[in-house]
Amino acid sequence: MTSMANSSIPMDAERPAPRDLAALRAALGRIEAVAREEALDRAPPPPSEQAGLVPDLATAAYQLGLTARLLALGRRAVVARRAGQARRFLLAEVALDLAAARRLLYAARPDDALSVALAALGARDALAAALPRVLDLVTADEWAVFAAVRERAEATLRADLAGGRALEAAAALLLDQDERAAIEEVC
Amino acid sequence: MAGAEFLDALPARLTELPPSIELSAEQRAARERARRFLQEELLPRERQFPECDHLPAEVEEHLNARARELGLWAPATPRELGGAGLGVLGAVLIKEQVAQSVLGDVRQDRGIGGDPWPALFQATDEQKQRYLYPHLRGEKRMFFALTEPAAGSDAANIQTRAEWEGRGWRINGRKHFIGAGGRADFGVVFAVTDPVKRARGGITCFIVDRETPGWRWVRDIETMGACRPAELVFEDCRVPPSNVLGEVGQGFVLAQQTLSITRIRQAALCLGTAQRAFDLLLPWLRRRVTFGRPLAQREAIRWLVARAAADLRAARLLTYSVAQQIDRGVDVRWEVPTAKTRAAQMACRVVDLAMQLHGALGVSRDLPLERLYRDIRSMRITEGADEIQRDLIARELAGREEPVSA
Repeated sequence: MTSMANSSIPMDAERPAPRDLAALRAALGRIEAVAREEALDRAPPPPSEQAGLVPDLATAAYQLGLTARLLALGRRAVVARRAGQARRFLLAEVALDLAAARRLLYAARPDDALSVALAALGARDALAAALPRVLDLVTADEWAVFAAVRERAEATLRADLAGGRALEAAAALLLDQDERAAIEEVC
Repeated sequence: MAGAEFLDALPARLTELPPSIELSAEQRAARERARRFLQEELLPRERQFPECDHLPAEVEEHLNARARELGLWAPATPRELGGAGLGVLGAVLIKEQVAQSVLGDVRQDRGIGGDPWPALFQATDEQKQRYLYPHLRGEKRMFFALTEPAAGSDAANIQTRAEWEGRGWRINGRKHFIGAGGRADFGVVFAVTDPVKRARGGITCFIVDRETPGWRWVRDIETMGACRPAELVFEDCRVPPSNVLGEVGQGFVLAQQTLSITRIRQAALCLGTAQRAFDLLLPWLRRRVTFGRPLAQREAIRWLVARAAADLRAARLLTYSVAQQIDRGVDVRWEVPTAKTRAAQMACRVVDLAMQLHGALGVSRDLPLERLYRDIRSMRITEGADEIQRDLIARELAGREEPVSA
């Protein structure tokens, strides 16, 4: 079992002021945008080198940028193919996962370890689930782009196989203490 | 693909930062009072009423009075109309608490909430005196009748007709799965007034009193959950022009506006149900020992619990966000289906997980889990099935479905 001591999540950080949280959100947004819009043009900066950020959140932002890129590829394919309902629903599932994971990411607070772990988990799972769905959508014209995004996606997913580290971090906070976990208080 | 080209590919709402969710001090206080209501009034009574569709009148009156004392009555109704004025987000926070009990506002007809179906806010002053204010005082109940045997998800296909007779309207048709339809004093009934225009200006909403000749209650429909929605028939049911709600021909728009809000209330209900199951699950996993170790120490179970927590938190954030945006007047056509379907699916998953990990105890009536399981399933169907919500999301992303090319 991985303890929180092995996690990158800070346990004793001071509760950040709203201004700091706004800065954090903006920084995460920039990482996501780079991954989303320039995924093939620029190598991602190692998340651990993102100044001032919790590394797990930086990784999550990068993963969600790739997920959005996959969603865009899927959308283009659905429009180009005049795809039927089954493929349209696959596209909707990718969008649903992305929307949910983005909420987790942008509501995470560095002083709330559970919120960070769940954001990391949400982003990882959204990206992992998007790959086979978009594989079933993408057209031959877009295949090279898809393959390149998939390569980047697999590289970041390999860093935490099956999400085990994020899962254990969250499980430890939920199950290894007697008091009720504060998942109800999201704001 | 260059960045600029890519930017055209997704709706802005999937590329902009999601808005921060901010609760006012008043909303936080209301959530605390709702928690008290849950713990002091609802949970202690659960075992007395294991299978009821509605509570005995004296119990319901007590709960309604207590809800009023705590400022929880009609939370989304504006203060100037007699409500608590807490907005849709305030109503979501309260419903989420109350729905943690199987006696809570599990369905619209439980009468613990006080808010009318939002369509009624379009009432004229005279209609407000006759229907809205008595509803807010708890003197009258209402229903919302859109669904028909041949028009559930495909609501634009309703067959109920309303024909102009020179001095009033004559309604003929059949509605089913109408919550509180058997006990309500009046209802809002949607009918086709122009068969050519139909959803594009040919459906009108009428307020129909229970005493109106031609209204016939057929039966309450048994479901797997506690809910017993009604089947109703309208046979030459005559209503005056003053009972048109909103404008003639604009009923379908009114129905869509109403469902946008009630879908978010339903998402809140799902959050409360899932939270209850989750709260039952965690201490059980710490306590239950199998093969010499607590379940809480087994990796496979720990991972399931962690994913359930992420699922619940994400659905909660989506629901709060949509409610807040409705209160701010933002167009939420994209976000409502996302929150509604995510919350409903999440609640089904979390309740199912809690039941599974409780073993045989989970399906027994010693715990409320089996009741939560039976009640929650309909949330993936009612007020817009998962498939309809997915279709709305796909339409927002990629336009309307075209015929598959040969």
